[in-house]
Amino acid sequence: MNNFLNGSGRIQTDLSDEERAMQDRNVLALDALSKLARQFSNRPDLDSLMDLLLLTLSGQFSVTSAFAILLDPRSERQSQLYFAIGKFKQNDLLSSLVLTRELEDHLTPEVKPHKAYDLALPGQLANFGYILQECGVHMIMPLVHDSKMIGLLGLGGLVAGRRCNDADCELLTTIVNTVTPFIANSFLFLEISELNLWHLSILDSVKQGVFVFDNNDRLKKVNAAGYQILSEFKSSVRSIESLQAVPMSLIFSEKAFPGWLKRIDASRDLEHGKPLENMVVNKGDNERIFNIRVSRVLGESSRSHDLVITLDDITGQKQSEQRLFELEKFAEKGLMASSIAHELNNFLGLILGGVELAEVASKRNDSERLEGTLEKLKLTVAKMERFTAGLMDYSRMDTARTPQNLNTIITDVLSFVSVQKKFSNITISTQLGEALGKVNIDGHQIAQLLLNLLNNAADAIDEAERKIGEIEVRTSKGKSSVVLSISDNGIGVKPELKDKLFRSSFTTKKHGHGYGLVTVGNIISNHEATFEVDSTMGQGTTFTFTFAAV
Amino acid sequence: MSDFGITTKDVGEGIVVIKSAKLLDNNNAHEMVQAINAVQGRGIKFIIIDMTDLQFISSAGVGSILGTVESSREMGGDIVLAGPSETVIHVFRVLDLLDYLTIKGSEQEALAFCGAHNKV
Repeated sequence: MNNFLNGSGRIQTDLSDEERAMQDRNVLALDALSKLARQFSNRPDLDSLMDLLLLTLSGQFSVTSAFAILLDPRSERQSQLYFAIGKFKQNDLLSSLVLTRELEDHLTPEVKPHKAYDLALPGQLANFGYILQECGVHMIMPLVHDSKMIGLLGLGGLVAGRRCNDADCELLTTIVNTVTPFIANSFLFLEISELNLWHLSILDSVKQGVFVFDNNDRLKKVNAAGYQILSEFKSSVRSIESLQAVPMSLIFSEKAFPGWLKRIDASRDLEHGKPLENMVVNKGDNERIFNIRVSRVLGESSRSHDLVITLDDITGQKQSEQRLFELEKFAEKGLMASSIAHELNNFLGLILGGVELAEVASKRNDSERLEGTLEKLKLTVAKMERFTAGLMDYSRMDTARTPQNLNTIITDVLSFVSVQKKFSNITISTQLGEALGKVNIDGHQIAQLLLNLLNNAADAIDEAERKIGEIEVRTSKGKSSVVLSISDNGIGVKPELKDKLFRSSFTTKKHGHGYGLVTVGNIISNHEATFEVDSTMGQGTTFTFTFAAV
Repeated sequence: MSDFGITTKDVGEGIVVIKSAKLLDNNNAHEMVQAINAVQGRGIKFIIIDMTDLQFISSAGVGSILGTVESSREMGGDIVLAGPSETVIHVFRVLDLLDYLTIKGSEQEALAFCGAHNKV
């Protein structure tokens, strides 16, 4: 560059002074253009671009003021942006000029500079030309991109003795037409930046933690909730910015999130697959449980895929379920106490009646009737004994999982429920498999599961208005499992509701609270058992549970 | 001396010297405008731009002076360019600015000029 301007390295030496000056002006312009282009392809910042463009034009064309009006394509109402240097900087008249379609039609058939004092603008546009002249604008040039006027450039304050000739006009046209695409790109960049901000604000409004990793498993984005989770369990996290490009193995490190990476890795190829449930993380007393979803989305380059990991904090939900579970147990105990009192009263009534009958027989010396009455009393007491034995077994059941025979628990529970009034019109039959073997179960919880399902079966039978209800409890031994099934001829479950049966507060009963099935769901989960529901509306339902054999 | 750094020195009597870096182009033209505007904002009428180290000035660099010189002149002062090299003067020449700009051979000459005109 210096060589061209210091006189030692000119391209041609046989030029006139004027031609030489013109050549050097062109070299200066070329230098300015290449710098503008380089700077704004790297950093398309509209304010800086316009500032530099106006300073460059000021120097290049020896004017002390310059302005540009740009139509903002991001605005639906086509609002305008005003940039200026020199005396045009605080010029209310120029900054209020409106670029209309009429002006575009008039200025752009041929994209070239127009001398302000030569402008012959018709009708309402005449005022436009008048303002330009009043403000000392010497020359204007439309900025045209994709055959559309996106702005207007104005130069003023031509220094004394300087004249703008055809070569200057040609140079101005070249500079402006070269720079205009960069201006359009800057708007595009602003639009993308705003869109990006918009996406980020949406992400931040989501309560789930969202992490986006690139093709190389490096963090691209994390929302506010995700950052909050990380900073809670990783003391090394300082700011969202510091997480940029950090590998996934450090984000979900084994130390802070034990076992997470392995499970995320295993599910990353399952497109929008099932969530990873009950992922636990803890630090001190702070324990949180998350459901995690791993999904792939198309990356920005469209040739790569990003990995989106969403963390849904279900700690509160789990705590609610546990509270419901406790409430259910409490409610069941209340119901059970009332049921026990009712059954004991029945027995006591029978015994009292028997004693009275025995008294009468004794007074009449009717030894035969006395013996018969005492025999019936003995039977009633035996029944009562069986009932209370069932109660005691139920209350003694352990809470921890131990190898137990499922049939024993079923027999105990049935001896308790079969004498209850609720089951008086129901025939309970059993097909308990022999040599069933033991299952690693919590006897208390399995008894609760049976009680809840038997109660539900009785309710379903009642709802179906059966004269004779039927419940069948079966057990069988599989290859490495033990299967328990409970069938009833109740009202049945609608097909679309089968998957929701064991979820929170689900009930099909008119006055049910749904806690019973939540409890069943929890017990199934605690035993890592699987279940199936086979139901036909109006005919009945079969619940089948499969436990791993010991 | 960095290639783009611009420094300002208050020399008293309502005169401030802004020292230009080796280059005055797209990278620091805006910085020069800001430096000049800041001095003008303080009501300083005469600004000397020390160009003794300046090796190259671009169109944008020239624009940074042209876009601000009128304000100083309206205040009754001027922007005086001190000690530009022949290369820099050549740029002013090809842009027809030699008659418009106030150019002095050294900072001393510029100070003398400003001092004389400041008393008027």
